[in-house]
Amino acid sequence: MPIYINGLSSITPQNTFENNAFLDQIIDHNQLFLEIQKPEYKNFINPKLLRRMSKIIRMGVTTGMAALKEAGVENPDAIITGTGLGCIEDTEKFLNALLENNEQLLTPTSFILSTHNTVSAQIAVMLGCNNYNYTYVHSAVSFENSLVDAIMHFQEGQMHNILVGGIDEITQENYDTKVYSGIWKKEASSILNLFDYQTQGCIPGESATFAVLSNIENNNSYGQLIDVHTFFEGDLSIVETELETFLKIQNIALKDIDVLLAGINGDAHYDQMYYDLHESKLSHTALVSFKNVCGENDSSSAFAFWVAAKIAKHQNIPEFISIKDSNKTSFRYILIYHYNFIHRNNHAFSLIRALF
Amino acid sequence: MSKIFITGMGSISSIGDTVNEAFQNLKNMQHGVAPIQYLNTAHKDEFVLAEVLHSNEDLAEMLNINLTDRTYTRTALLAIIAAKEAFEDAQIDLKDGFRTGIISANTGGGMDTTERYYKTEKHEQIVDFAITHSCGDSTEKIAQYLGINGYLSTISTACSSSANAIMKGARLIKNGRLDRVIVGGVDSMSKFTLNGFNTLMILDHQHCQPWDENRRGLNLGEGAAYLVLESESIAKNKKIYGELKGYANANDAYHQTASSPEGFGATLAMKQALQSANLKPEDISYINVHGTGTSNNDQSEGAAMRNVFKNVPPFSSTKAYTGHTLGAAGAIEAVISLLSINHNIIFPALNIEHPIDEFDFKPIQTVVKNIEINNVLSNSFGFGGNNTTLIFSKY
Repeated sequence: MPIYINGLSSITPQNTFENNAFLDQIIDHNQLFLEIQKPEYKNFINPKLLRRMSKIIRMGVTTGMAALKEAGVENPDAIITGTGLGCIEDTEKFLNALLENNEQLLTPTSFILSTHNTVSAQIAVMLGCNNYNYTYVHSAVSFENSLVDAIMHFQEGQMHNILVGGIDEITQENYDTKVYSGIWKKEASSILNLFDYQTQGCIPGESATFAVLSNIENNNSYGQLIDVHTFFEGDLSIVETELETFLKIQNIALKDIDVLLAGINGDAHYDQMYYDLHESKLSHTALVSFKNVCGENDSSSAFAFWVAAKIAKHQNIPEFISIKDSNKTSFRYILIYHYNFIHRNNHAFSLIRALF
Repeated sequence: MSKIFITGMGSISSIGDTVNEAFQNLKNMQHGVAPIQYLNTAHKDEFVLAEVLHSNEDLAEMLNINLTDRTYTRTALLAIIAAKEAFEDAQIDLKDGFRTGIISANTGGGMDTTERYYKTEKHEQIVDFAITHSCGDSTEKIAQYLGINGYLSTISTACSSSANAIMKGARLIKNGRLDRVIVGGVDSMSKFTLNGFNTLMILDHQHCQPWDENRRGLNLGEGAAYLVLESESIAKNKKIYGELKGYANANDAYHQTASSPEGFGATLAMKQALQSANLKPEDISYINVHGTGTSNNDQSEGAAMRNVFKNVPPFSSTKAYTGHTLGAAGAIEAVISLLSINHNIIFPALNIEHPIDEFDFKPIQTVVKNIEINNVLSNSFGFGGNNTTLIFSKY
């Protein structure tokens, strides 16, 4: 039972929201963390509602609505979102207020909006959508949790169109808090030479990506989602075994894979396993990055899904994300592999196929 | 598709560190709501809470965990204790070749630890909280403690979170992705949560009175509960507590925090769950209602029950025992539902003085024994209009 990708929308630190382009013009960021390029939110959200919304809700609702519009779907059979850290800005606002005022004089708005399922709930209210509504919060594989859920719904045979998304935001305060753990780079760095590995750590960012999955192909279909596999903890040999098992279930050989979209983020220590896997099992594939666009964040793999779908449809790999060329002229099977950046213990494979 | 059986249960809450302790307290109508003992809050004398009566050090000792590395939040400790009980109860042998996963749920993540260290001077030794803050942390801690490497997932849909985790686990088995899954949820008490609900003005300063005409709001609680779900092929020779027969999630799409007065989403969830269980409304022996004790919830849920049932079956809210444990509530109430089925007993609602006038059905108010409990319907509703219904059946 094929699953088609019929609508896509992504807001990232690059101009990805205008979906007809594909990373052809790159904005250099030379900062501690990467912030999104804001679209005209008011084209998608009533200005009265917009005022109350924090950044993550704005970017989530906007990309959700845009993906539905592109797919021509008014009321999806399910809304499934993933977010590693949820509504950071509202959480910080409420937490600071209560700690600074000794738990007095608090107002409810930021508490209400700090709930992890706010984006999926807001979309449901705006659409009047009474259907299945879930939010996954499992680190960097939250979006993959959403994809697995959607795949099962299609297998169960009750649904035709499902809205899936991944959203995570970054704030100055969140950067400041985590910088002490040694995860982030301590100095501003240009994204243009992120993979020169001159300094330790990675650059955090933010992104919102939604996709409409459907069991019906249409004129706009980008490609097919074949399957997703996640597992917990594993060194290179386990990752290799899990990959081979995952592909075998789909009757696909390693040699069939044309592109490896890998979660390299510019931290030499954390990136090594991606290069090792590419060299040991997938050296014939084009090696492609995505975190130099969206920065390190728990929803970066949702953006990787956007990249994979665009490669499947446009059959080209933008120079900015091309790490290693493969001399291939067509890209049929695109594999996303990434793990979370803190403990490197949640691993995920997602396989996308072009429509030929 | 495989049937889904429950072969293990674990829980920790204000009414006991184990499922059996909870059972004894429920049977004796002993609740766990009390003046605040552990939460360090400015509102200490203002509210009552259903706290787990152990310090973090006690909880760590129960697990032989060394707390000095400060990487275990209270959330993670509660989660591991309940998951371990369920895991041992089901006598799981991870070497048997069956694919095992964990689907957990919570709303607050490691906020209990984050809020303690957030304003202290930050340096490399004190930022563990930045790593343990995320909701997935406690799920990973369970996996590491029990040695599980398969599919992990964490759900956060406010107060329906762990009911949704149970439903997701069942679907993973039915779809052939897993053979066995530990499902449930956890939440620990934090100032963030207490103050948040206080700003919404839905906290009762006294012991709550769910489903009473003069109810004043909810009492917050903390805890964790997990079930072991197994496919037919593994469970057939084991002790079985019951079958998870039906489930559904629907959205009220009405308001971010309030439920619709006619209970539209809740009606959908109950109807769809009955349909998925292939049961009629009259087959339900008992409803464990969401019944938080807020004016809005109990009215909306009652309206939904009136929509679904011509004759509303016996029902009660058990939140006056455990408090509202948020992300753990659906799982704690799943354990209570299964205790009802296994012991043919209904645990009564507490503190009812004057049942809600609008409805001609009233909660059970005394312990009911010698009754055949075959199918229990359990409701869990959360912010964002998130409504989930689970149906457990006798095996």
